[in-house]
Amino acid sequence: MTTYFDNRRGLSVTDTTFSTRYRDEALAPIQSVLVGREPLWMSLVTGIGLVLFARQFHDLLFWHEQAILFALGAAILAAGYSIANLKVGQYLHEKTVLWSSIWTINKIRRAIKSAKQSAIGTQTTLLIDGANSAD
Amino acid sequence: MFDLPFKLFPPALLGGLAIYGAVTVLWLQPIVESRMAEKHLIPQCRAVLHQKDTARVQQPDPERDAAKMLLRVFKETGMDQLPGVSESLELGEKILDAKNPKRLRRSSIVHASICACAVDTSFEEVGWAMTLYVASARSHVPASIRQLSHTIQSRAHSSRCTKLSANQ
Repeated sequence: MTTYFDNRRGLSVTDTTFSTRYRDEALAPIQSVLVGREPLWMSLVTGIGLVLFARQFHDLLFWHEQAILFALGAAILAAGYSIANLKVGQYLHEKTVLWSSIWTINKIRRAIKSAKQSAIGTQTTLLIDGANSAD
Repeated sequence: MFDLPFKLFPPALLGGLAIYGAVTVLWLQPIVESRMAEKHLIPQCRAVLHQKDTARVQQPDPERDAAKMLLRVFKETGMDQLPGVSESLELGEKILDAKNPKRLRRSSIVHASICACAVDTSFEEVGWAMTLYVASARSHVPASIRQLSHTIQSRAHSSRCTKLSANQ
């Protein structure tokens, strides 16, 4: 069994299974893998809104209030960029299976892709082998 | 019809707008309203009220002014040196002073409370336009916000706010 990803905290991708801390998913039925960026969209509106507010209403705010608003806006934007979710399943019927940092999610996505490609390669080889054996 | 925004924009974007809207209503808008009131609107309203009050107290009274002028003429021509005239002139001055309008100028505290009431009422009337003004970070200025100072002046003379000064 080949392991494509393992963070030693319950997340792993092998050639047959994608495992999270509370759930194991067989890789074979997975047709589609999506990275959901909903937190990014939400943080864009909120973070940019707060930063623009602090900038445009500077005449009515104390400097420390402006600093808090800028920091809060930046923190929201950073958090929104960093957090993502992974959706797997059939095409147009993907389900969210994991929330994590965007870097972890991308690693798992690449690992699933590698595992699937490896599985396709094995199947192709078997078919060729079968064809060879039929001959 | 109501699902059109959900077709046009990602739900997460609309969710972000909802969060920002809530933050605006609960946090940002009260800050802007109180600071606008403190820094611009109440001082502006007080200045206008003070100006109007001063103008009203110093209203010209032709009869009183004529009598005062006559008394001044008596004094300047030395008539007040005559026995008995000086007392009469003093009495005349007292009577004229008593005729002076005794309408007291409203104190600055009363002005402040009338203006605070007017500003508060005006913000209530403006309603969602203020939310839009704050949420858009001044990029959209609704007509009701542009006319806010006029609205405040008219509310400052409304019975709702002037009752405050009557009570004080």
